[in-house]
Amino acid sequence: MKTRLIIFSVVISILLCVWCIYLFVLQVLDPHDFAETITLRQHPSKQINIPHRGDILDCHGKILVSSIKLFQIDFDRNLLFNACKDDSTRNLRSELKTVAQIIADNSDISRNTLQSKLLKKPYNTSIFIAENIPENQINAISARLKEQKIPGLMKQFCNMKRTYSQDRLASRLLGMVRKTTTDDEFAKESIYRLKGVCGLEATFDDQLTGIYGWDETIHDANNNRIPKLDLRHRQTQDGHSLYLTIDSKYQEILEENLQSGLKKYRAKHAIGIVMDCHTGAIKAMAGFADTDLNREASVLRSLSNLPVSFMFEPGSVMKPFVALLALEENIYHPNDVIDCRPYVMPERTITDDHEFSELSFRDIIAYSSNVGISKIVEQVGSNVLYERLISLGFGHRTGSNIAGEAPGIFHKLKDWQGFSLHSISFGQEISVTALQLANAYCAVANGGHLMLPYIVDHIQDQEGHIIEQQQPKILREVSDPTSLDTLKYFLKNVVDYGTAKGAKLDFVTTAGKTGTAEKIIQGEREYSKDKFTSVFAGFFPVEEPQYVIIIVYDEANFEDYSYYASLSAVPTFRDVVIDLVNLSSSDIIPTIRSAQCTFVEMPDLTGLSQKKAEKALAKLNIEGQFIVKHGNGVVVNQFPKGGVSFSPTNKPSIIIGEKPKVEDQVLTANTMPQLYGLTLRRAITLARKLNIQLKVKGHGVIRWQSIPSGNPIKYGDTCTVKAQ
Amino acid sequence: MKNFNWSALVLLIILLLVGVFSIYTASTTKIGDEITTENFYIRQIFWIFISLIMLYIIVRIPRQVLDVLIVPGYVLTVLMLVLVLFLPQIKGSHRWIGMGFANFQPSELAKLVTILLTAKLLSRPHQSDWQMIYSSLLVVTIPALLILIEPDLGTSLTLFVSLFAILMAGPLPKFYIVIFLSPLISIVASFSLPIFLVLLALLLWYLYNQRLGWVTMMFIGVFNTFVALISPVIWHGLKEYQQNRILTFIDPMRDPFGAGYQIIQSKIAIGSGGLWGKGFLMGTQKNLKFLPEHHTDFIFSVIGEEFGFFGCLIVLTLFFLFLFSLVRSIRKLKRNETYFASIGIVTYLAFQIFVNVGMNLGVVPTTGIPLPFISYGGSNLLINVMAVGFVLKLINERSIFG
Repeated sequence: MKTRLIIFSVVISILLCVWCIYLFVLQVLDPHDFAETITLRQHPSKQINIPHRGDILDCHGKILVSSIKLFQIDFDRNLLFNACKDDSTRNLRSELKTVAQIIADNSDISRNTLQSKLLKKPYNTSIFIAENIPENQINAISARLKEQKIPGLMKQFCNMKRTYSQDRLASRLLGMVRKTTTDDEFAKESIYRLKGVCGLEATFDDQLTGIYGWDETIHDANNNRIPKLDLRHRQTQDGHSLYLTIDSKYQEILEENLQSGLKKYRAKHAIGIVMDCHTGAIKAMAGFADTDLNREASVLRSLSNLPVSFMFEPGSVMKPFVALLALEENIYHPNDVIDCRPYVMPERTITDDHEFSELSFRDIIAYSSNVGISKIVEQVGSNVLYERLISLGFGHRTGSNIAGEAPGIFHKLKDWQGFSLHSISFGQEISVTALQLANAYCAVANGGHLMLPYIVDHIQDQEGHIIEQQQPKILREVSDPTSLDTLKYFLKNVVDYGTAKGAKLDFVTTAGKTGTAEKIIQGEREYSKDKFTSVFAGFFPVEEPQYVIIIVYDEANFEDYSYYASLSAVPTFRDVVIDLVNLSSSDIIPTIRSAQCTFVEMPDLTGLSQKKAEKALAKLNIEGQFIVKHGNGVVVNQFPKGGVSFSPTNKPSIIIGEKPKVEDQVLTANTMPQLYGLTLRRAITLARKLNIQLKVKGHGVIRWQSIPSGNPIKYGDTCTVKAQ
Repeated sequence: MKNFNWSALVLLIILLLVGVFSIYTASTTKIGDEITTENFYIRQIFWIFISLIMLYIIVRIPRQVLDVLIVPGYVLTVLMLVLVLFLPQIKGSHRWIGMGFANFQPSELAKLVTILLTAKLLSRPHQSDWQMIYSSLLVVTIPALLILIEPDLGTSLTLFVSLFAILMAGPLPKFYIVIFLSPLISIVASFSLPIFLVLLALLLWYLYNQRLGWVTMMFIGVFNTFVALISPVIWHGLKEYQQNRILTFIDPMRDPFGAGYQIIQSKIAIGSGGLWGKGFLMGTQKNLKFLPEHHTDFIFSVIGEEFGFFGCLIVLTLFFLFLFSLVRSIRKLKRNETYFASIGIVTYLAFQIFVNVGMNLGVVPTTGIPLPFISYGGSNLLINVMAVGFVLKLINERSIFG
């Protein structure tokens, strides 16, 4: 018995010794490197926080594009399983049904789908419920689940969606984003990222994206996050918001008008820009292709932004710049008459669509004569023209920073050929973008400052601090105000009686220039006879220009003459102006009214002596400027004309000339001559020539006539005259 | 009380205090500066008080009273083991009888009662070797099978191991060791027929040399062959998790997140402790909940992680001293019944210590055996201390004639 007990003790001792040796090996010698294993396990992993991509807003702070984060939700049934096991009053199946009901109530997922997912066996596993659930829905769900004391809902970022509050508005301008990943050196994993691939999303991608943050986390065995205080983290920096200069109302107006024009004139492309000419801020910018109307907004966002990318030969809209040079150099005066018959040169004949015999300088612009402008440009010279067009921004990018901007085509001076000078003067051999044209016209409208066109007014971070404020920037002075004032009136004439009569409005003055350019047939050095680019570049109000508007139709319908800018681009311009002015928020009309509130009507002074004219003006408190050409004469001309309202701050000019002899007057058919001042005999002779019947009262010199001179008359009208 | 083994009692109390301390650190989660402790250690202190009172009662109560109680206690235990099978599952097995404030495990009681009854049976005079074997085997197998059905492989194994120790420490000849161990060897060898045949031949040759009767030899040979043939069948009859436990015992990486998970985690915990450990409350395996059952079955891993090889050595030394102290006293016991009972109880304590530490080291399959006196657990602690109480009582009350 004793030996067996000793054996028994020895066995116990040996077994315990074996464990001690094993412990020594495991712990002290550590052959499996467990000490290392454990540090690896405790090494914190990084949880990446994706920043919110910044919003894009219009100038009034109205959101155009924003983004929402979408989450994937999973349900860890194990937690509920354990909770039900601990609490016998709870039934797992019915609790899971409640979960399905709660999720179905707060999302678009049907209750049956959820139930079949949730009740899939085994119950103690985690299951995927749905993805792309917005945060507000998840918050509602988790609040309800908390009420019911149901644990287990897990959310995980899965996607970010761009939302467009205005649907198709400015789609090509705003551009689109694509899901990509960036690699992170710390996290050693790819990080979700939305990358702007075109439009403003691409241009300002860096500002919009923001900087992702991370939290170091340690998870326990149940994959629960351990809140530990001394872990590092990097703050997520949400993307900045872009506040555009675009006014969404203006944008809507421009787009509506362009789209209806596109259909009406059956053009291939329609492009428009509204630009604030004093600052260079782009207020609206749109471009459509004829196929756009059937396209999804998401497709449109991936297409190029036509106002900056589409290049076209501008045609006659270039003429004002040539005219400007002629005015600056005093080569021609507005009233100088130029021979505008077809201009035959050795190898080329320049003609006009409508032939003119001779036109005054200003009418060359008003009626858009190629011949006339060619003759003027010859006097200006290619050096000056080249330099001026370059300084107006043609042939290179405007600096607007808008993605996809084209530089246009404008050959270097040394590459100009024989007729380049003439061609460029009426807008051939040069390609421009609508933005370049708009910017150049801004310089015309604002008194010669070439502005930097810009579309982002300021960039703001999520706390509301302004990160970057774009100030209007004058790139250079391109002309002098005097010449530009004259040019502005040339352009007003275009609307008043020239090619763009359709743009004349009675409540606001407009000015501009049409251009109907033949398109070059692709691949040939020849111009098409039925494909045209119809352009109108205009601004309003003329007195205090505020907005420059460019309207371009590409290949408008040939058959119904829509290709004439005056029949397509001009009406669209007119509609846009009307809509802009009629906007409730528009301040254009009130500005004009305030300028006109002291307007007075100019009396007709013609025929009065200087003294009488001064008296008449003094009655109205107007100080006139008398230009005396003939010492003892009468008023032969005045500006403004009689009956015209004007601001007395501008001194009216009154020209005193030789008293016209009534006898010298040229008779015009169907117009009442001036009988006043004539002898009775002479009057009767005149009346007979014009077949007017005279009723005479009195004798001598005629002092009154019943039909005023200059009025239209018909054959056989009766005029009563009084003579003394 | 002149024969009372005070040193064993002191060592027991030290072990119980180490237990309280270990439970405190094991049930505390320290994250950053935030410390949360579950109140297991307070409950353990409560149970220690109850256990020590029970120990005192057992030491003081007349032996005749206890003798009378053994057989009814055994019957009651078997009835409870049957009853527990019809109670709802807790953690996947029918082990516990819910009693409101605590859950009671009848299998714990079964260990003590069965050992006492076995000792009583074996100490009857004038029995043949085989009579002793048959009767004790019957007494042990009834509760052991019931416990196996629960299922609780560890506890039923404990019963057989204790029985084996009692038989071996008793008057049976040496070759019975070989006879009892031969089926185990046959099970292992059954997967290769040539090896099995060689081993069988060796066995029979040894028994022949011991001058055993032909009938016995034939019986043992046939029985071993039968075991070897049936063990693959039983293998497939085992529950999957039991198979997994055995397989992952052989290769823990086979299923690192399933059956091998606990073994790997506790091994990592112990291994990362190093020589001096990570310090009080600093065990990351425990803090991050990688270590399962860290205040019960895997408490030794927590000790290993936080106090290193040094801490483990202290605990094992305490156990060794405690067992050694008991064995030394047992040597003086003369009466068979007290001797057998003491040996059985010491074996069952030693086996639990051995298996639990092996389990924590990832060397022994996880069988759900807690570390005596250290692991948290009311009924287990109570029965273990009561068992020690029995041994102390028997030692205390020994007379010159045993």
